[in-house]
Amino acid sequence: MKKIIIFIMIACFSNNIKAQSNINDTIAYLRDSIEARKANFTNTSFDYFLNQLQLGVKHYILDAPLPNRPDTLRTNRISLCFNNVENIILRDIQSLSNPCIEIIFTTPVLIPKNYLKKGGILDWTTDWNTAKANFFANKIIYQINVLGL
Amino acid sequence: MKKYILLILFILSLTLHFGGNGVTVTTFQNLRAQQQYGCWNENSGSGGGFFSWLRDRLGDVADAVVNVANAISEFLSTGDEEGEGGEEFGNEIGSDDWVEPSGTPDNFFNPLDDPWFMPEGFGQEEWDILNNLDYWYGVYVNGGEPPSQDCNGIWGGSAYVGSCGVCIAGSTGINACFVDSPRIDTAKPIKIPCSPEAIARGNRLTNIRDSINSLSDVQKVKDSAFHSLKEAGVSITNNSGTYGTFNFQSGANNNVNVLTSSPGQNIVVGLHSHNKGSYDSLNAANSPSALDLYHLINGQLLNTNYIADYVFAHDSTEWAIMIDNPTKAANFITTVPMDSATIAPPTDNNWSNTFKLSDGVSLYDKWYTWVVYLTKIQKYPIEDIEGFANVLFTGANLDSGIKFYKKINGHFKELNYQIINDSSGTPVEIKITICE
Repeated sequence: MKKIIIFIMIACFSNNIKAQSNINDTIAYLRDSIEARKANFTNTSFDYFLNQLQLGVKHYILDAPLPNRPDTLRTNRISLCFNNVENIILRDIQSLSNPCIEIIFTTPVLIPKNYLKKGGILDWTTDWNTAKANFFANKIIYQINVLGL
Repeated sequence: MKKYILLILFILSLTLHFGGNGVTVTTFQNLRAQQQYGCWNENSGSGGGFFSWLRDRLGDVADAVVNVANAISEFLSTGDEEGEGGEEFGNEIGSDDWVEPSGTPDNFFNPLDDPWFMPEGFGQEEWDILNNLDYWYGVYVNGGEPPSQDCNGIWGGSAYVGSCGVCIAGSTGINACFVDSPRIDTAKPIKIPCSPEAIARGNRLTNIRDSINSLSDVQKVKDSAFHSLKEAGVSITNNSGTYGTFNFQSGANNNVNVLTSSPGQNIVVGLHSHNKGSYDSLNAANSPSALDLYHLINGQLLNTNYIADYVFAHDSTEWAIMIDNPTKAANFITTVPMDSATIAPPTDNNWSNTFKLSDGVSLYDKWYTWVVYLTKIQKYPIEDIEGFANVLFTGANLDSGIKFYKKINGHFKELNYQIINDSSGTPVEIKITICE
């Protein structure tokens, strides 16, 4: 049973383990494996891209539930970053770059504003997680842009 | 191969009583539900049943249904018991003729996702075998309609997806969308001594505000903040020391254009409301916005007497912005074009026109990251988040030369930020400050 529990735990966290154990140089990886191959990701699904991505997402930027936004947001863009938000801020004020990938979808994604609120499936106050990834899983990528190289 | 044979035998060892005529192919999950709900109980009166999990390496659902059904029919007709049945079964559909799947059936089951059926003693090696298998289908006989699965994965459960997109009720432990949690966002700005300039600006803002409090148009703007869905605004004039109002507006939408200059009018400040409407998400939008920064700078460029903008907010807070460094302000408005500098996502969904700073990151992305930092890391109250994010955004990213003020205990006090370094001089934290 002990083996089983350990195995399940490994399975649950396999993505993070994979991401953190294989990539020593985030910038080099993004430059050589993502930016240089960005055309390969056009017309693929977000899910496919995430499976190819060997980095764990530490911060993401999505449309915000701002007052002047409609009840159903239409957004064709999400940014995935690979430093946590604290490091992003601290690096930013030192004028150090932060690697992120901006993903543009072929068609806008409809997001009920409620989804972005606290407690919603895309709750802006919580970290990137499987549920959020699944929300975008079948969205088709039009273009990716690697920032902060 | 030995492992595969053992695995098939193991699976067949799970076979329960069988009988009857119907043969149905379904998913593993349905089978599990059938068993959980007693469909396989010999006393259920349905004649019992048979179930197992079969591998389909063809990846063709339709073929799998036929193949599996035929296999089970044969199995049932021969009456073979476990061991022999396993062989029969294996000869029929478990041969090496099967090929790798060409697609992913809808009812793909990854055993790693559901360790329910794993018995005691079923170890790592068996798991590895399962993990290397392809697609699995459940088969049952005389099972009847399986119960449905709720969004929490509970068969026959009552959980459902709420308007927030989250699975609630049932056994989720979540009673409703947006359940309030105990507040932990209690951080407050650090109090620091005011510079003489900050004191002077705060006093000036406070004096003007006190002087215009009784003006009816000012009260209208305040009322709009509390009771209207639309912005209102008015320009404040000063003629020979007497304050008055000019060009009161109540917006047809959420934008009013407070005049900063007009012939014959000595306009000194602008005042507008940020109204309670759908202010329910970031729960802020109370403080001056990026567009307000432009309004202030433009106003001062047009009219040197124009010194500040006030915002009356729906949450009864009052804010002001004032230029403390005209050179920086002029540089800001020159280098960051106004039309594309709004921090909100573009309403036309066209991000290609969004202004990006030198590192390629859009203004919105910068602002949003500040918001998340202040919320999750610093844990400031949600109602202060947008205002504080604007303080940091305009100071650290835009370098706009503008200071933010918030009215506290009847006095406008300057907000700023402080970078806290460790012993080596490396920044480790950023805090909002308020001078007193």
